[in-house]
Amino acid sequence: MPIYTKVADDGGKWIEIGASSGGELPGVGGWATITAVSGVYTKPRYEYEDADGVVWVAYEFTDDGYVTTTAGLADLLVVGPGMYYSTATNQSLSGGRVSMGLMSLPSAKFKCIVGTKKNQTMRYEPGSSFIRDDNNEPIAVGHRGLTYTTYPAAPYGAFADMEGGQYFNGYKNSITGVEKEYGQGYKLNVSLGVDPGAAGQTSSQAKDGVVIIRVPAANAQSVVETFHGWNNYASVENGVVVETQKLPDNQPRTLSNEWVDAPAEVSTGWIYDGSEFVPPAPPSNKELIAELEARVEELRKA
Amino acid sequence: MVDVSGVWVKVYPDAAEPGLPGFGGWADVTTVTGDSGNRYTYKDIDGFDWVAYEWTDIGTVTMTEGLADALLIGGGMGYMNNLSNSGGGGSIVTNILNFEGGIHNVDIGVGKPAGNNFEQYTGTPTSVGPIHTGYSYAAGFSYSGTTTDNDDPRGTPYPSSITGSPETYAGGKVNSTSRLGDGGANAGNSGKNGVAIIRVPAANALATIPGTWGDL
Repeated sequence: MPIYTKVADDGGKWIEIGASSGGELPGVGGWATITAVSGVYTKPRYEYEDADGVVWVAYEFTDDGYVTTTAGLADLLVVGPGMYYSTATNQSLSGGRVSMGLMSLPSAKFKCIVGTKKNQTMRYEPGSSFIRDDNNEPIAVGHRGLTYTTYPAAPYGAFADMEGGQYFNGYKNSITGVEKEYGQGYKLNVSLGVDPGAAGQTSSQAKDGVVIIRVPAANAQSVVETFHGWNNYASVENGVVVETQKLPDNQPRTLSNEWVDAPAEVSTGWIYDGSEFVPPAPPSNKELIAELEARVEELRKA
Repeated sequence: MVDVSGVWVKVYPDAAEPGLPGFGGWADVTTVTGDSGNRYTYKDIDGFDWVAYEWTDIGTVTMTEGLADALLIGGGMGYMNNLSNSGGGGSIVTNILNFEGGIHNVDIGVGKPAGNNFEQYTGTPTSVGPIHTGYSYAAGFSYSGTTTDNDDPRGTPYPSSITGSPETYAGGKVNSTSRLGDGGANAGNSGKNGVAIIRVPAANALATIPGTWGDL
């Protein structure tokens, strides 16, 4: 509806006009503006026009990073990583879970944490995807995928529908301008996803999580972009990694010499012999059988 | 200020479209059905008037196309005999979501008692139309409650004031008696049922409520 107000021609100056009634969601407000991003994100950023003629900008973090915004709404998608389990050809594995929708953000520098896929050896390690605020509180979470054997109640896909027989459905969304199915579950000859958060039998089939933030292009006009990777460092005790931390690779190292340069995939529990990192040994068949037998025994007692 | 003698003129050929660019405005909620639920009517700290419809059993909601603030809590997982990885909280969808116009079925996730297999003790999804939570989290997970970078959230119930008062939902492996969406903490403590809550400004809340609902 047009807006009318009292005006006068005062020597060519416009005087007192009404405020626009558009651009905001009553009770919540308008879009946030993205002012800066850093870390590992898809380059160039996604910029596209949707079917209604609205031009969008989406930043997709495929590894950790930061996004700074003014207060306001942003369209978010946080997807946890999928699970893989190379020796379990008939196992069902679950994809990452999702968090989606418009969220009202405060003015802040948010940390975007992207969970990486896990295998059977790493099945007890944490590793969900997050957006965290200035206080490091999670404001959106995408839980990691899990194994059916270790976590028997793990859902298979982010949008699984067991009653409908669709155990492996992920969440379909076009936030980057192209529809993808996030967090798809895996079962041999039944379901294999290719998008973020998908589970798989092998490492190459399973996918890491992702964090995506989208606003109209008008709210991402002057974004300061600083793309950088991360260096991984490990603290080792008695030949075993007890802690790791990642620091930007575009800054001088500030850690003490006790921290050892480590490949990106190294995490707590890896073995270090002074020259090379190796992952902890996967459970042997004997150990797996014992684990399953213990579970069967628990089921009999239930 | 210049006296313009009460003459009104059009300033903008077309004012900006109402609502959020790219998404539009709030949906109108025109009809709600269901045997069990509540309507919350309140004013927030900014003086804005809201209405939240809460389903605690299956039903329907009829809406125009548009946005609605949603909190969907799935059913909690049951505890399984000494299995430390059971008892996950009900899965959560929370944010402002875009809904298609029409009638949407509302399904409430069922919390499960201790059971013998995946399907028997995994809490089922809560859904409103095509939006749904997925099945309950595993391993005592919840949506809140972690303090370091990528630690999996476990245990802590999710806080929300969508009904106008602070509440918590869907803790992981919590020995509660009634909190919606909790995962069970022991064999005698079942997972709790979920809930679906849809909030819109009072001006968009056009539906009357069934006589069996609470009006709060």
